[in-house]
Amino acid sequence: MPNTVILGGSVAGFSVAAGLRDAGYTGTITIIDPHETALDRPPLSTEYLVGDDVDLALAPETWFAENDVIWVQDTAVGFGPGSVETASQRFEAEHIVIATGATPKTLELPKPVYTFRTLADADMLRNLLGPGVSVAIAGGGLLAPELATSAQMLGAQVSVFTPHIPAAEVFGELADKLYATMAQHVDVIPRRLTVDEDLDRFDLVIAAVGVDPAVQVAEGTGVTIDDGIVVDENYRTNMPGVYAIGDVCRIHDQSRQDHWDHGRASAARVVHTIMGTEPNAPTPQWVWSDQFGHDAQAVGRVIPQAHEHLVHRGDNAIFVVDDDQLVGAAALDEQMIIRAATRMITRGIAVDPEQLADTSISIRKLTR
Amino acid sequence: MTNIDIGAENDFPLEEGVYVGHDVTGGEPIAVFRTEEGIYALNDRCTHGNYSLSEGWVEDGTVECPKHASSFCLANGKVLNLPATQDAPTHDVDVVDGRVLLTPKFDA
Repeated sequence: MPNTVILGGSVAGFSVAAGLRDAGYTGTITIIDPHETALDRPPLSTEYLVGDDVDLALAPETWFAENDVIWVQDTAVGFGPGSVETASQRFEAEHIVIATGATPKTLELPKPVYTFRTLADADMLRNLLGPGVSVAIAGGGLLAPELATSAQMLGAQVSVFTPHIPAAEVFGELADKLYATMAQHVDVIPRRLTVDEDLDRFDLVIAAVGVDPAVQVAEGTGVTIDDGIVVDENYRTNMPGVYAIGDVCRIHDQSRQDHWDHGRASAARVVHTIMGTEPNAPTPQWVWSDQFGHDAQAVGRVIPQAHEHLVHRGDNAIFVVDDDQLVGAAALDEQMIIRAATRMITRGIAVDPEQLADTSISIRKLTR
Repeated sequence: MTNIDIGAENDFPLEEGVYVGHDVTGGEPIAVFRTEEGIYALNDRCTHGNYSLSEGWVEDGTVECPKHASSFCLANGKVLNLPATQDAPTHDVDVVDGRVLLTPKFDA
């Protein structure tokens, strides 16, 4: 009897279940996850944290019955060929998809350090952050500026410790602009947060210093782990019938991609692997971050290599071009540029740097 | 429900969205899309967040929200991909004698 057991029900795991049903998969589908239902996490650090009314569910409650997907609120503790175990249950599994995500790294300081990843983390910090609270936020990625934005909106006095310009590898030159914007709004301290700081001046310390892949369930199973569960381009591990997707995995010759869109894209690909169908071409990495009034987005790679060209379109958009092919783009508050760039990259549309730079030409026109 | 005359067909460029405000619709703002295949109307606000679908990318009978790239079927409002999870409410719209007539279907 064909069946698939998915460990983890955030965007990656949930998207496998939805994708399999869309593809006509008739076997049993079980998702094992400690939460009540499938949740989307990107809004946690922004809208949810500041108290906006936001629906985090990845599907209405009725979806699971309608699509014959079984949600088991539990945590998988191990698996072997053909089966998955929680502390109290055992599931037969022809296909096992590991989508357990990642857990935040923290800092060793003589003071409680909070981290931010889950709904529970967001609920806790929503209660702790408020007017008059002095908070130190440490980190050099996307999360620290997002948390700083929300903390400031909640009335807290915010200090951000970052040893470098946050997310410079993601947004390229535009990261400088985001950094300058952040420095206008909050106290930015250009170094790591360590024991040498006077920590008594902070009521609250939050570490947003990266994540570790949540590989515990795979330890000792024989599945290869090396900074994530190691997979091939189709997200197969070295154990037949076992796949890993999203934040927990690493494609053998690449670095780990812990972004929402990789969760979604890797799920789409593993659906093809399970169904035995031909996957679409891989999609370029896409990242967004809402911080201090800017919607920063990037697709592909935006740091040019020696033979590539950096193209500016106005003050808030950049492209990296290799010959007549687009490699990547980043933009602040100009989402259509990212939508266009995604099409140019995935469809291999030839581009002309002069046209890309010309703001009088509609970006949509350049995709036709 | 009565038809609202919202303009001449030629005022609605092909493969683009046009924003129709609440002052005209009498309820939520509506996005009207004219394509080679027909003319369609959806609630303007993306069901995922506060973004205007009239500014979206119209292609192959769908509109993609610029903000986080969820797509919706123009004909029936069905959401086609995450992060949005709810369908976009649809409204009746038609072209009669070169005029675009909108009939909002807000819940009474």
